[in-house]
Amino acid sequence: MVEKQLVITNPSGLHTRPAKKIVDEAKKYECEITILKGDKDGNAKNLIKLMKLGISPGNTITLRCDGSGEQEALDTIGNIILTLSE
Amino acid sequence: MHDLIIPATTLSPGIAIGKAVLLGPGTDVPEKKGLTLSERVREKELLAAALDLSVRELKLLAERIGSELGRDKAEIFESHADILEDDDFRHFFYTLIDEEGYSATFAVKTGAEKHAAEMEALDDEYFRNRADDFRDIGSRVIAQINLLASGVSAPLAVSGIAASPGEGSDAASLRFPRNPSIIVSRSLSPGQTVQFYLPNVQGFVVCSGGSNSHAAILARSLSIPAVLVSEGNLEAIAEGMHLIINLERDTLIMEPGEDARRKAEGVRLKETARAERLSLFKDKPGATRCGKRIQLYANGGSMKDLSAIIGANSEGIGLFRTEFLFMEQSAFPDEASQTAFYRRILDVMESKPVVFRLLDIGGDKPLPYAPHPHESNPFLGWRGIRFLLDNPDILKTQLRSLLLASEASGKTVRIMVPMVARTGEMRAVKDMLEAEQKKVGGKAVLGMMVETPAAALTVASYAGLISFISIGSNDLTQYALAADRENGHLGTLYSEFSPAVLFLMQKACADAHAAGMEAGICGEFAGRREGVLLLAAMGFDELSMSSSSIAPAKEALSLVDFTEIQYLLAEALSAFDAESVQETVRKFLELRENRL
Repeated sequence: MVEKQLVITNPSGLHTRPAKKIVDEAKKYECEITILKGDKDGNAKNLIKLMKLGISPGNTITLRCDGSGEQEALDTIGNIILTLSE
Repeated sequence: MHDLIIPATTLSPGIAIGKAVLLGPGTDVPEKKGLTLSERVREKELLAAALDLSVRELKLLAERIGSELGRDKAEIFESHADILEDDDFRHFFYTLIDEEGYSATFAVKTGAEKHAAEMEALDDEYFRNRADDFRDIGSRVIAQINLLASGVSAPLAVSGIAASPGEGSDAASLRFPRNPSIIVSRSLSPGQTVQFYLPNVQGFVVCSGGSNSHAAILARSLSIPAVLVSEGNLEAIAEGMHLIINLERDTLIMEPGEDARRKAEGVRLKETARAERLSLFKDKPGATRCGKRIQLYANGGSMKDLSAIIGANSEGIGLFRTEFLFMEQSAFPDEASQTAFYRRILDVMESKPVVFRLLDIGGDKPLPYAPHPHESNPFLGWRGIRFLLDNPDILKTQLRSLLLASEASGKTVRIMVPMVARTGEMRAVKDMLEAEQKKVGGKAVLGMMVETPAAALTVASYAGLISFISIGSNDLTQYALAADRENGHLGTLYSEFSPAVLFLMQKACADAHAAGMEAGICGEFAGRREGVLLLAAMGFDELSMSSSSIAPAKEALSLVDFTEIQYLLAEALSAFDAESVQETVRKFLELRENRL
């Protein structure tokens, strides 16, 4: 299992469109990909669950990948989150 | 006739006059469950077809609105399509039909409401407002199911924005209101808001959804006035009733008399003309009539401010308050988080300058995770750079993060130090910055925020330490006049127009220029049109204000010559009190506006 902490810096947080980008990428990986915010967590392959975490700009989240291709998933999705522009 | 004035919350500014057109509650969905197995199969087929049609409909709408009104306004429809295409979202509806024997419409209604309720439970207002999105998506699918079930083929050909299908029969009859109308509805879905983007739709009255709801955002971007009223007041509005939105800000008038209507009409015409004039300034640089350039920057504090800043075509950010990042956290953000945050801002602003103000906290604005000792005089206490120098780790992490963001983006960061009162404070920051720069690289320009009269009077002694100053006019005014702006007993004592405050600003600006520093200002005074003229006359290079003030500031500058505002400034500085200064400048501006 690998994980890292990220700060959300895009203007609207992980609302629908940015979350969709993450979900589309996450679905390409076999490993389990979870996003944690505070005591809540959500499957990064599920758009609705991700939206319901209510992740706002300035929040710190943990991205956790567990299973086959975990390191690559962590790097790629982490990078997507850090470069979101919407 | 009596004017019945009721309180309202403005969701989209502007005045509107028209007759009420009531919008029904939408499609009613009967509670139907316990269907037989064969009925379930039929309902699932209906649902599948309706979901696909809804997605296609949304994509067509997005495409159409994108080309007619701009990409940003189409985004809502694209995101609705994304949600509808999500397998997990769909799966829940099918489960309700399969396991509970729900009808397709009741399954969609139940599922959409469940998601909406969960969104409403979130802390962030932005996300709470997304609850209506789920209801809107649900209504769209339900309308589609009903159309399919009734044997009417779905109207997929979107012939125009006004004819968006799937909004139910209530909406259909409203597509072309013949007289100036104000749409009254419990809530408005984004689809409805765009649908009513028609000449005769003057405004909206709703009783649910906050200022961040899509309907409010769309109404603002379409410049259609909208207000929120209580449920009881909304129910008191009858079809065809005369209404006026915002004749006085945050009010709705029911059954206005002739006088109020005439007055509102006059104000509305003036507002429209002004909005048109201001829109002409968006892409022009700030300059006086005779061509002297004054850079107009925006103030910001969060990533959310950035879209407004970019929308206003601001030439840069003259004050980025870094407190926001710190306040949203449960502990001091580490170097990596801060660097990523600053980097994003630099990237989004491209080649435009950004002034980051170092963490400015004190007794009046403590951090939730860093308890601040009680102070009897927090405004004269342990705040700004005083706090930072006593907490070198926090200061060092912030300076390093700014340098790292600069190094990574290849851009120069402008760093501004708050609450400076002695040169020693500035020297300590400069030393630390240079030491860190040797370790991590990056390009930085250091500046001082001039809030204390001490700093304003001794700018020259900071030569060699800083490259720019920026006046924090709010604090400078309260310190110069020893007047708390929040204290109701002090009346008009707190005023930036006070000749004493103007003298301090003028001296700081002149001394900065003499020492080869740039001079800017980032307080609220810079966003007032009267302030803009006086500050331009003093010779400030850059004025930083809220992004919505930029166009009005450009307009004010365009009306005047540099020579005449210098005379105006001389007159202001020799006046006896703030009131007469303000009145003089106001009249000066009014005279030139009336020539338009």
